[in-house]
Amino acid sequence: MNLLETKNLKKHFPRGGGFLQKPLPPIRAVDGVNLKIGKKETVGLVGESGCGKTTTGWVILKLDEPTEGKIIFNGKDITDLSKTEMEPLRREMQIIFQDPASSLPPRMRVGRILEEPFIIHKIGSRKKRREKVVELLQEVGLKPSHLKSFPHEFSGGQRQRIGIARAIALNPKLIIADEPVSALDVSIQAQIIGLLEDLQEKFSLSYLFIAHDLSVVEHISDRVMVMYVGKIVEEAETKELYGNPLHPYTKALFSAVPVPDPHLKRKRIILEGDLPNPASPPSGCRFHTRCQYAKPECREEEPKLKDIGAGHKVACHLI
Amino acid sequence: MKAKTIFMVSVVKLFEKIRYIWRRMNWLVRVMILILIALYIMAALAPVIAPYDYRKMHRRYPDAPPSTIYIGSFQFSFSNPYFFSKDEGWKIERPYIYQIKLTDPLERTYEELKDKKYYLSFFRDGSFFSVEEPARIFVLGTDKNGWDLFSRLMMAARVSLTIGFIGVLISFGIGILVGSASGYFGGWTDDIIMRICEIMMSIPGFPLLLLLSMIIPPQFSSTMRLFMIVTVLSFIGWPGLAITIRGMAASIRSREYVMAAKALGANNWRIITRYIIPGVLNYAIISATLSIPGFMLGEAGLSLIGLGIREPDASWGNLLTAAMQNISRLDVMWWILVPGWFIFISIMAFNFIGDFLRDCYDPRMRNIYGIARLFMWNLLPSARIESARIEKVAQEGLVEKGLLKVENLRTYFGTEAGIVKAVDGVGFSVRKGKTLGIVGESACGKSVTALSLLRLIQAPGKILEGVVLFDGKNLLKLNKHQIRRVRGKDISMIFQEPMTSLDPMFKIEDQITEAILEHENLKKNQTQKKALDLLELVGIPSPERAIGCYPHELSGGMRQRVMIAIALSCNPQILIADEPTTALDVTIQAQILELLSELKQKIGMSMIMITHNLGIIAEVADDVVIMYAGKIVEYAPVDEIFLKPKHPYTRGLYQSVPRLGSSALKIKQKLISIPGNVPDPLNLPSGCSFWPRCPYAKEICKKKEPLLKKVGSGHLVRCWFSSHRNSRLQPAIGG
Repeated sequence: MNLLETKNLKKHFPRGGGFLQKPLPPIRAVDGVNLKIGKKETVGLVGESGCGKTTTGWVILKLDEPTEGKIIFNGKDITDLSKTEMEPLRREMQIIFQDPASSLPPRMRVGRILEEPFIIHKIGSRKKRREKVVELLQEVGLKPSHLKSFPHEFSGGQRQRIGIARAIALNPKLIIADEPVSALDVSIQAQIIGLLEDLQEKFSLSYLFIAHDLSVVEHISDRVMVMYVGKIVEEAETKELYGNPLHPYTKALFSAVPVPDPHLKRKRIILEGDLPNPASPPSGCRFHTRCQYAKPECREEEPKLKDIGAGHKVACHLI
Repeated sequence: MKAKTIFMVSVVKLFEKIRYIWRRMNWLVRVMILILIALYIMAALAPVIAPYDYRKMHRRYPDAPPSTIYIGSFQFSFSNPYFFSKDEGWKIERPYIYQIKLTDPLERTYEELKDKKYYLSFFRDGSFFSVEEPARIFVLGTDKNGWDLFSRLMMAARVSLTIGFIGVLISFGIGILVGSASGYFGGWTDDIIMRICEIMMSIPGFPLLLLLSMIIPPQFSSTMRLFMIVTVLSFIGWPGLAITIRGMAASIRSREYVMAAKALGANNWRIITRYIIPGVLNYAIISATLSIPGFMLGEAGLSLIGLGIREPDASWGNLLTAAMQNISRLDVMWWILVPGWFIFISIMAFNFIGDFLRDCYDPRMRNIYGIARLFMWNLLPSARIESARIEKVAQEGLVEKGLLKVENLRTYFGTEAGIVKAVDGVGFSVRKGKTLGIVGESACGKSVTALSLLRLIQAPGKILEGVVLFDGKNLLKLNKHQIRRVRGKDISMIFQEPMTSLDPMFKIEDQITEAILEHENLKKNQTQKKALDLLELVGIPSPERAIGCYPHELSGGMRQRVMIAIALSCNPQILIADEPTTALDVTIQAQILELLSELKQKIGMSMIMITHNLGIIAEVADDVVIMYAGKIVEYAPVDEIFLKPKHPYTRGLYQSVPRLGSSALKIKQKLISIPGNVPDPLNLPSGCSFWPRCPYAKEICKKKEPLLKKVGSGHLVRCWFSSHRNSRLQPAIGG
């Protein structure tokens, strides 16, 4: 049984409307996503800005209510659960944010920030909580002397560690990592990635790793899904996807990544034009406006995600 | 037993907090707090300090002058404080006064009856000081009704100081709660509350007060009246605050740490009390402290039109008003001055404290000594002197064809916390038609280097030393006008964030033509044509449409292209690109990089590409500079940097970046990270700045800073070990 499953998950943001005004077409941020995450598995979700990957993460945690579709966590349908019903489940799934500067409350000391999860769920006595907080700090590589400091006294990498400590405090099973290393320096990125891997091993965590950096995703994920304007266009196991990308967008994405090897001569696939507006996505296949292989049918009909073998799925008419 | 310990603990904690805050205060704020405390104590003890009941009319002494107090050979009176007689020498005795008698009822002149001395007694009859009947001691004299002004002044303190406090408590209490709830919940709650606030704010406060004053029956006691006025002022005041707080609450609501709290399962109440309100408290406290004076002045203003506290009750406001009627009489100037001074000092004290509280609440408080140091820093002269070579840097192979040559550039920033050596002795060359890549992480000084080349450094930064040779001139020696002619024309720059680099208020057309007009003299239609050509050159589809757009109407990639167009408008010889693609998506980044290399070939321009991405460097750079903590640690052609990196930092960077295609390898590669953090620029390690993170660090690294040494053709390294030609470092894991 999968730890997390989503069926046709959609999240549309309404626009305009209000008093005596006709509403504009909604922003279709997430438009039919089927996701599966198993136990102790890392699933990477890649895409460019506006593709809906961050929104997917938030909706899975019910930080935002889904417009349509189902979310099934540990076999239980949590889509329609009320806020109070969700409370005990919050301990099982947590989130790490991208920006270490804004993910920690600026006026709370670190010790207090890490005590919050326990206070909210009324776990343990004061003394026990303090002990647990010290444990958490050591788990992420920080010192107990950091308890009394404020977030702004730390570097970006250290703040991210605090954010991770907060996320693992309640022993969750699933962690949504929303671009956890994008805002960090290169040398620190490797440290945090290493920390995430160690924690996964130690606590049997599953990650939904949302990022736009393809190399980082490749390194840490077991399976990868590629998202474009609210839809999954390709998904496969990491090795398969990176070795044999089939969707034209995936291919363009990979060829666009600059590789630190000056002797590598590649034929770059340069995409024309900009990312489409999620409020008015192109008809049919959403990628057809930038695709060099586009045919008439691509403009008319939306391709479905097809399984072409070994768990490799593609949404393209030409495959 | 347990409750008692909890109480004791919280008292101790409160004391600690007060002591902590007291320590952080500078002397000015401490004085102000003491003044306020003194004023409030005075107000509390007013009945004791005042010798007479403030409502008592001393009918036989209307308009009496301030009493003269005799102390031995000294004479002191408020209207004449400096007079003392020298006849009797310097003697201090028990103070006394004389009884006074009205001599001329019309002129209100008095004379002292020097037959009997009435000695001042202290702490008798429940007064701080008093005299025996029938003498009266009027420290400030009396007014036309015979009221002792000093007594009234003391009692008035109670009223004025309380009005501010209570008024602020009420209006801020309501304002914060309502505003936070409105901002946090949004939707219908927000709409309704905001409309209520707007309606309340559009009710004219002044006519409302007039109305209320007329309605309040005159038999209402003074306290009731006071209460009413305070309540009315508060109710007029809170909507304004609520609206501002609501905006702040709404912005805090969408912050990630609030989302994190929600993800942890916090309920709305907890989020409002623990996250939203502390976030707005900062603004609210300073606003509250600054509003107290407003209430005080409001009350004084009301008194002026007779709507405030009415006589015989006293407030500083209505004392001022009564004194206004005698404003032409210079001999009773203190009737206005003294209440005026009290009001002024209280207001100043509140203002200073409010300012301090805001700094205090913001965890990033500044200290006043740093500001003094900063002032001294601004007086230092900047680099106008051609400096001799300090480092023996052999740069053959890169010198002859140099288009731009930088040597020993030092740019320091004088901050309140200390001096930041952002760029500390940097030197490199840019060859004609080639690209120099500058690689480094945050705070390594790469952006400051680029800005220093074009002298775009603003205070508190200063370019203290260095030589920037371009086209036969030292750019650092040019005057204001000369350097402006270089900027945009010979050397151009593009920045990381296209949204904030383009002015959101002007159309694209204006921004491009501005650059052109600055350096060339063309007619209007010529500049427009040139602008269109440029946009086409940078690959913008339908330039005619783009030209009429505002920056926010274009996507990130388009904006960056516009930036490039502006930068190229005058055919510069060098283009400095500071992280031009970091804020862009991967596919757009590829477009921009492609464009830059095309342009390089077409125009033959040189480039300085600043980035932290080694992949980009591999693609576009010909020579590479690696920077760390303000210094160059390695400098080599791009092949050398990637095949034979010598500095441990370079090797560390190389190994910590995950490689595309790594999944195809049989064994899963573990990323080898560089331990530790980028050093604090205010607290750099001794010797080599990198030693705390270096796997090869030895004693010499901690003591002496290595110099840049040549280790190969055109390859320089700053490291004690790598600079040996037969370095025993293991070869880097090959690409």
